[in-house]
Amino acid sequence: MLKKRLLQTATLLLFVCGIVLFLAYRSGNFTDLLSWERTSLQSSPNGGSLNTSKPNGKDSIRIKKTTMSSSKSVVLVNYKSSGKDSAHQYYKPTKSMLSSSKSAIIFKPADSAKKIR
Amino acid sequence: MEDFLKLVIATGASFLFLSLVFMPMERVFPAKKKQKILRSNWVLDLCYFLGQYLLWNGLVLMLLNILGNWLDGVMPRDFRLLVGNQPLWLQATEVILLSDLFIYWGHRIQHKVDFLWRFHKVHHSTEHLDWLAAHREHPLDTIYTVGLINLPALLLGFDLEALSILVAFRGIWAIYIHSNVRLPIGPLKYIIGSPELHHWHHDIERDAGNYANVSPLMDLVFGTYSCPPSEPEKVGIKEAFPKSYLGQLAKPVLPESIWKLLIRKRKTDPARVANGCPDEIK
Repeated sequence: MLKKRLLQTATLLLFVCGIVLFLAYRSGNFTDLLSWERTSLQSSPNGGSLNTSKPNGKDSIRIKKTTMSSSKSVVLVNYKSSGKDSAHQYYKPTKSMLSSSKSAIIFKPADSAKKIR
Repeated sequence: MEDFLKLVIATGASFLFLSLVFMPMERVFPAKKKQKILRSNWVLDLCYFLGQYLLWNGLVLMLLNILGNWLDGVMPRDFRLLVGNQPLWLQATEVILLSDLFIYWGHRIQHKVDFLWRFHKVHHSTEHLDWLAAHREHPLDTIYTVGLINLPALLLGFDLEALSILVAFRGIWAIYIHSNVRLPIGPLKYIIGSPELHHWHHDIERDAGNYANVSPLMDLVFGTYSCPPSEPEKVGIKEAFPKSYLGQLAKPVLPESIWKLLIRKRKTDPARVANGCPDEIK
């Protein structure tokens, strides 16, 4: 009985820790450790892919277009960091500045600074 | 090539992570005790998992990007900025309520309208619910559901990136409610969705209720909440449906006449007849 209880507790603990770790990763805490970025789109309510990072962030034209059209739309679509894309690098600080006042609880300012670099 | 490699690594890491989080739960708190981890059609659901991560995900995001750009001009920019500058807690509440409302009705309509059901029934065709079965979804169904759930944010300009914890939670919880887990959460079940509720949505009856996913609030409001004390006897669909990945992807998009023609050809294929292959596609 005790063994069963322990097993159940350990399983629940693992589950909760897994979820917390996942949430921490998706809110940008491990961006430096993992090269692919978090999403800003809600995934399918049926379940489905959790990795909704955009597959390719090299398209400068697309980023320019998005930046010009609206500052808000780009927040919804996740562009992956890429050293090859000057437009993206230019764009990033702007996004951080726009959202910094609201996202202070979730994003550490240091993360933004690292991204700018 | 480098991007594809990253994608493959991300897919493998996601599979390992989800297995590690959900499999112990399914072993220790099983909803159906006799259901094995490697149950029938496990490979089929693995195909869906791989297909989603490696193939369809990019397409869905590309289309959403186009939709997002198009919707930019619909609402006045000042209004969108106003929405995006609200306090986070207020944005979170609004996003939850609006997304739930949109997806509730969108989902309910999928079960009513035959044209939409033909895509959505791919998701319901699974006869065994677990975390992997959550990934069984036709790409066009994914576009529909992901488009709907993101529509309020795309339209009104909610700062989803700042709400990334909420977005991530919804994503992983949508997988959890499909898992083969029975873990009663008491009165919380009226606030947050659970496998015990969503398994009933997958009941063999097409209109079994529980159309909301992450929170049952909309089901409570619109009278479709259903929470019997036991697990449904049988999940799946009543209609005959292909059992192969390609068959399930093709059937909803092909006209009935072409589908029947394909099946007739397949039935009379001498190689299949000689091998005694079962007629799995009806």
